[in-house]
Amino acid sequence: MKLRSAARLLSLAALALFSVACASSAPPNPADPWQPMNRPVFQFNEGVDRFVLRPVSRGWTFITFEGLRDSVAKFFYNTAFPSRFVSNVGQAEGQQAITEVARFLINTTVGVAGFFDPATRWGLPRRDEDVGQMFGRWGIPPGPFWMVPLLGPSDPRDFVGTVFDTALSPLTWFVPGAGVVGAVNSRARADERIEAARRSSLDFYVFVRDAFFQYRASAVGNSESLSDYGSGVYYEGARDELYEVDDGKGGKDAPK
Amino acid sequence: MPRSSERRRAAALLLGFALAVAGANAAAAALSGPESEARSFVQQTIDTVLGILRNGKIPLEEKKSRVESIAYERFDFELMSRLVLARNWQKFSDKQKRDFVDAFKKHLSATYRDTLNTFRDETIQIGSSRLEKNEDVTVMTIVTGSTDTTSVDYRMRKGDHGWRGIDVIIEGVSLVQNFRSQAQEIVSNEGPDGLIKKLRAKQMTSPHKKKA
Repeated sequence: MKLRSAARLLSLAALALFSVACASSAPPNPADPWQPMNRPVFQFNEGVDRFVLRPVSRGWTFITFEGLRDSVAKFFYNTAFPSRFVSNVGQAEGQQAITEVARFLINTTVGVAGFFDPATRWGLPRRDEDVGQMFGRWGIPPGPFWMVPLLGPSDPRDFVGTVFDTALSPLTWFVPGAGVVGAVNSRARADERIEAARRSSLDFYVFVRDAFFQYRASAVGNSESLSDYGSGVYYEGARDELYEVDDGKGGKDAPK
Repeated sequence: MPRSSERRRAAALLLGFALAVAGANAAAAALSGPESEARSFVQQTIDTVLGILRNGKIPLEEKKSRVESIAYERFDFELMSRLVLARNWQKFSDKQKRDFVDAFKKHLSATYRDTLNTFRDETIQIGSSRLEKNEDVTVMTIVTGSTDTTSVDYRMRKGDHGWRGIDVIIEGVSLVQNFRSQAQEIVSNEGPDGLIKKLRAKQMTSPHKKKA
């Protein structure tokens, strides 16, 4: 029932946004072909954040203390263990997969259902991993930037990854509504950073798009191939080129 | 002469200790000249900044100004501006170039000041470093807070005035690349003046009102 109402809300939002998208006529951008659709969705998400998520998360901050919010974040991180395990196995990271099992066993028991993270102190540090990263390691390209209603920045590959991550989480099946608490809690913890990003960016949409793609590229673990992201036009080649001063002689200067 | 032999032993011990220290330093220096230079530059900067931030006697606004002036000295804002504008740099007139560098510098340092509000006694450790193909050096640091660790890499370049930071890469996200994407989008839609105007408007609307 929950899922159905969420789906209805989503399709309604999509419909409303689609009509807005058709009305706007931004110039086509090869780096972000879906921008005419993404921008209105972004505005919608920003509105949801401003009027719902941010106020709720500030209320949450008000009634909790930092240590508790950290612990809640750790609890959710711990429950995402299956997705990290599967992703590590899928990338033939046997050692890390075993580390994840050990971390899960320790933190679920000694760490009181994952609210604490003794495993890190005992020399088993956390390492983020998800199904989208596994797809990336397999060589699946991310595809165009995609601003998903309510969920935020993504791309087709990572969106499918997120669907798997969600399906692999026991909370999805056994604790309805847990995701909402998780979302509010992470929004609360990131509040200062999000507001700082809003203030410092010139175009918050582009800030988010670029940060998302850069972050995902480095998470997949091959930051050498940043140029593979998006259309390639976006990153103007490999990262080394980012640090070449353009002297106007038709692009690249000094020969290597 | 028991006393003199004791003294000799002490001297030998000291010498041995000094050699061991020198050896350790040599091992660190074995990284290659530029790499160890850049590392010690970053280390010294971090020590200075943390020294200021952790000093309970200095009021917050004073801390911010001091840290800001360190940033002014230790980043090459003109080069960063050129890297951000990339091909667009040529589209800017000399005046627009000057205006952009100036506005960008102010914008970055305002942003930097802003982040100091959230400083909560994190520790910063220098990790590995990398000599880049073009002889820049990337120095990687790990910032450890109460629960999370964040990787912050500094891309360093040696110019006429010694080492300067030319980029900050947080969790794999390069600041130069990120601003380049934004600048690209704005310049192609609104031209150089549009970009400069946006930068200046940001400074107007980002007072240090948020403290909660």
